[in-house]
Amino acid sequence: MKTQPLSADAAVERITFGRSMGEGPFIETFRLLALHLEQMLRRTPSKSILIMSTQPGDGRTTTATALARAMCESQKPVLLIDADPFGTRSGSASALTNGDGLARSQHNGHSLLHRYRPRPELPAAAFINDVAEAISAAGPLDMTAIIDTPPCLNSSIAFGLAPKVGGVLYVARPGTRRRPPHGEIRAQLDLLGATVFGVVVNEA
Amino acid sequence: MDLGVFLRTYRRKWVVPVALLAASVLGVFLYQQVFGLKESVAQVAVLDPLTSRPGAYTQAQITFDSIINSQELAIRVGQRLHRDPASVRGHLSVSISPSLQTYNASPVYAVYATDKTQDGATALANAAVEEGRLLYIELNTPDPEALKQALADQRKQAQADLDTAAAAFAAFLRKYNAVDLEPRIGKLRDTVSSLRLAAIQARADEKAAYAAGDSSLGWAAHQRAASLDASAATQQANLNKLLALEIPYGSLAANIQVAQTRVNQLRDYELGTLTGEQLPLAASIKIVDPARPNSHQLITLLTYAIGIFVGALAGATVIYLLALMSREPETAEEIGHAFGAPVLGRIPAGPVWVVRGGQN
Repeated sequence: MKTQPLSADAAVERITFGRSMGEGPFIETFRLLALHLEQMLRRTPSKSILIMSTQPGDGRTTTATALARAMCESQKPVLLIDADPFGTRSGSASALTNGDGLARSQHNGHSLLHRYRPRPELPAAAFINDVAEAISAAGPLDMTAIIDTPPCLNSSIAFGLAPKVGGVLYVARPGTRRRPPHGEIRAQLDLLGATVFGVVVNEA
Repeated sequence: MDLGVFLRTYRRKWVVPVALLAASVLGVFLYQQVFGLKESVAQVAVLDPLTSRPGAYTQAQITFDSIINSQELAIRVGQRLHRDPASVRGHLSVSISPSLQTYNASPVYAVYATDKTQDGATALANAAVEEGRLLYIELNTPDPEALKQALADQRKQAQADLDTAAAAFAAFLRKYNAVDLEPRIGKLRDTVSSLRLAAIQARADEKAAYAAGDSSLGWAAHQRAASLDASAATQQANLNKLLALEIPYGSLAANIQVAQTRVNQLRDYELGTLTGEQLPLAASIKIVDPARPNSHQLITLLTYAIGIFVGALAGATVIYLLALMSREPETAEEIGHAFGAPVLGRIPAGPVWVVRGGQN
């Protein structure tokens, strides 16, 4: 597992555009969400959260990044795993790293935010196993793993990882056209034995 | 469709059903103003002559409701009110006022008239009742000369029927020599019975003579019994011939009786007519209530109620269609409900959140 150092403050500043994440309703939402999830993670064997949604643009990466930032604010080390092998390596996730591997962020002299990105060229099963190993590696380090996955209607990676994490956070954006099959996705997760934490609705 | 979606659409588009409701009420109001007619009703009692003199010979009566609905009445009322008879006929109606009696031979008629104004309706009802009364009396009052002529004709016909029946009876009597048929039949019956009894007695004498050993007396009794039987057979044959004539004889006699009765009845009625006792009654008709306004409040209320119902139904239908076609975004609650998990957070709308070059 390769690691690359990265400044957390610098990263956060790079993932936002036009405003600061420091204060305001946006980051407050994720601070509250972080509190909820920390409580829920105490009852799960694995301190890991899988972020999934149905379609591109639902806000998975935004949620993962902002949630990671909110958890870091409470001095909790976080491992942010970019488990989307099909997406471009850009955006907020790529803002945390300059390449593959585990990145470590520094905050007030402490290592809090880390990022891991499996090699995208791996076969799906190997890719999932690689992510699962990263999650397992984060456990002994008392890090909370946040896994950003590809859209679950396009890829089965999210479903493959769902039983291996502490819980699933489902991100959805209210749509005006076809409504995503929320119920069917939940049924699939239940069949796989995954734990569902809840839903984040992206109204932005 | 989810009731919540329907109600939410109703809440968002409440102006549509309210506008439709208002339009329907306005439509009813305009309808009432443009097409709504005022109505007046008058009550008329018609005394049936049959009721006042049951069993009396009367002419057929033309009923008052037929007269109210007639073109002749419409023409007369139109001339009286200077209106088009067609419009008069279309604005008049009649019904029988309810009665507690199961059968009421002298009904009270309610004559309804409609017009754009209440005064017009009242005038039309009064004119129709008055003209109807006059026409009813005119049509139903008997003409004495016509009556006498009709009676004479009927009596003449009845007399002819009687003459025909009598002639047929006489011809029958001549043909079959059936004068005094019934006495002759009775006499023959007696003769046949006497002969048969005498023959029975002769046979008894014959048996007694032979028993006493007097064969000459027995033979004489035997000869007498045989002679009596032959005579009885001959008389029985004559009786049978007369009995065969009995049925047609009775039928022809009955025809004469019926014709005679009819002639007698007509003669009596003609006599009574001449003395003024049995003239058919002149039609009796009385106006119980002159025309008065008839309230349409209930119908008006019902019309408005129907309008409100139709408006509300149309509004609900439009809302239903809008809800079906709506592209309203899901709410957070709907997503949470559909996914079966609590909504832990909402990424708020507000200042633009731009992810530089990212997919999400």
